[in-house]
Amino acid sequence: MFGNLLKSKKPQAIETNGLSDDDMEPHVNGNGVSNGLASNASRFTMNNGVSELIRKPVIETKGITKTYKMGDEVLNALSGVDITIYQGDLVAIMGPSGSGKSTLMNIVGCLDKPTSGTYKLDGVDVEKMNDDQLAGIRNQKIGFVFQSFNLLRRTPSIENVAQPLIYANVGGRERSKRSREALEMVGLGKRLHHHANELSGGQQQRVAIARALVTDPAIILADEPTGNLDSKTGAEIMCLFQTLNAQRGMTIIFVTHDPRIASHCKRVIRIADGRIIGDDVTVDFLDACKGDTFRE
Amino acid sequence: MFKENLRVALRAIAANKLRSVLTMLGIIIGVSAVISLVALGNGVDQFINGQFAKQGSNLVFIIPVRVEQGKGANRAGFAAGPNSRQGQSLSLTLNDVEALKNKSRVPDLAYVAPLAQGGARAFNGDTKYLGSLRATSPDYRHFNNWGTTYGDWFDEAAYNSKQRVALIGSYAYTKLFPDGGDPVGLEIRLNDIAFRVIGVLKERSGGTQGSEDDSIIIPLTTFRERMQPLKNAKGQTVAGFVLAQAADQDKVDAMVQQVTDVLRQEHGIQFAGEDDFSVGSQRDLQNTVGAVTGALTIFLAAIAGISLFVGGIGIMNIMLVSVTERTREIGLRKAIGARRSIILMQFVAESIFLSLLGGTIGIALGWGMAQLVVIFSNGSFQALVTPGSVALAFSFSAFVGLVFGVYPAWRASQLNPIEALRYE
Repeated sequence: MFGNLLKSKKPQAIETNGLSDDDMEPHVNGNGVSNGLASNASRFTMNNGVSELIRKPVIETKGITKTYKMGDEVLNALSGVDITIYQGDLVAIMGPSGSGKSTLMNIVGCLDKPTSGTYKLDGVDVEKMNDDQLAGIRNQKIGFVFQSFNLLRRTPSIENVAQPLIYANVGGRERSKRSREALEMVGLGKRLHHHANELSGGQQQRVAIARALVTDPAIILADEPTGNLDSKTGAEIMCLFQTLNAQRGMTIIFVTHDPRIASHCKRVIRIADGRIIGDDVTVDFLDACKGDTFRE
Repeated sequence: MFKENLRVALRAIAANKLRSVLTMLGIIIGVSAVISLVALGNGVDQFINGQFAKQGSNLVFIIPVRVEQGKGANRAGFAAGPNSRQGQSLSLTLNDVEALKNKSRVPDLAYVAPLAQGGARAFNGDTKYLGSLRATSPDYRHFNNWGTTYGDWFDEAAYNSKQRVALIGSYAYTKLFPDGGDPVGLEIRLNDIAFRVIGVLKERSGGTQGSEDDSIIIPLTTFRERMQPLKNAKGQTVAGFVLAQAADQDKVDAMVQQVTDVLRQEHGIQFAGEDDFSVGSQRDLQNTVGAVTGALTIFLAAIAGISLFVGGIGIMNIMLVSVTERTREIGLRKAIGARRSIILMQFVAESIFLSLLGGTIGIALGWGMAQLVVIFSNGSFQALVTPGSVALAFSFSAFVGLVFGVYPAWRASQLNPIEALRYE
């Protein structure tokens, strides 16, 4: 269904029924998406095992630590995390609760600052920024998707999607145009004026994804995005993410403890006790657009 | 951003209609109280000023004051009015009135007339009427040109010869002569003495009981001769009190001084002695009444201010609840890029909007209440909702919303987005 959606929006885009078997081949397309080329390039190099150096890093952290003081005790939530995430990555950060996964997500999402270490997001050093500067960075470079959707109730989809553009001071007409496009991209072109509380869970999460997309961010950061959905809807949402990654080269980072999400990702970073304990790249991931791959 | 804030505020208010109305109630009551009370206060002011304007503000009352031996003067306040017992003091006489008529001694005086008042028990045959009796001189007609509908005022000759003639006020006329017609020449009995009607006065102040129109006017000389003989120690006829009118509004103060000088001379008061009379201008009285209504207005405004303050606390309370309820929303807004100042402005705008909405409803309600009072008073009372009081109420409610909205909004802006997003 997303193939249809994307086709209707960009007729010259490649025919795809989600991700096909030859998905890892470079697509010959002229779909006009600005980051399409970079995306294809990155996937091409990855496919050919060429050094990662020529791929563009979106996230670079070096020696990130985060400590919390609780009375006399010092809790090391993160103790020296180095990760590099490249444009076009579809990556899951996995770990059990208490592993430091949420802390890492908050830092990567610019919602929190590391105690020490450096963090470069899309070429910008963010570790020293103040709260208002971080708000600006979140607005411009990060699209959040949450487990519980976090939409404004009693507010039409299109206005929910437009929210980040309001904070980016985008004018009203431009705002509604881009919001409509984002909603069409997630397959809700006919639900522009439905209120969030009139939509199903899956539809609500699509609105949330549209809201994350609308500012054309450097990364999409999804925190357990299928956690509140049944397996069929979860697979549909996962398919949408995979399609956005494949077609538009969106860099998507999942933060999850759900192995089903990890099994749909090109790369899985494992974290435990505040350290990275594994970083695996695979070409052998599941395609959520092909049937109900989310059944447990 | 302003439009967006307004939209969010409207949505939040619409989402909790009952709560919003209850929250606004304090402001609504406060503002409607301010509007209606100030409107009625202005109405009273205008009514009183209107009465004074009818009298003419260049009018001066001279009332006698009893000087008690060894105790100094017992001054009668003007607010006590001409009907006060002080009016029975003997210090002002017709000789004083004559002295005041002397243009060379009191150049700024236009007219002067003595006035004594009492009750009138009048009979036209068997038709009985109880009203007020005014005894004065022919010059009284000049005070505001009190004309007649039938007949005419008594003249100097009639006055000097103490004739038993009477002028009837318009209200008294309708009571004494219910069938109407020209009563001039007819006989009525006033306090058991026969008087000849020589005129009917034009309606002057509403034509009701208690107004000037309920009075019957007779020569003071006749009154002192037949009804209430009063002479002072020197054998001069007592005037009661004296009305004087200055030639010009600007001459009132000068005339008051001239009158005081002449009367002190006439009464032989020494340099250090206390006056045995008191001169007060209409303007003094007007100022006194103005001060009273002004104090009343301030008092009402204070009460209204307190209720607005209480309303403001209500708004703050509900805004704090709203911030807590919408913690996740605030967390989300921060996550997608809202700076602190934006969150702050959003909630302040909501609070101001809530307060202004209450203020607007309050203005409408207050205006309605004032109009109701006007309707129930059969229009004898005016309510003036001035643009000034509307602007004041409007800006004051905005101010209340601002003051009491800042703290909750500040709390919202300080929320940590991580914790706010996790808030259940």
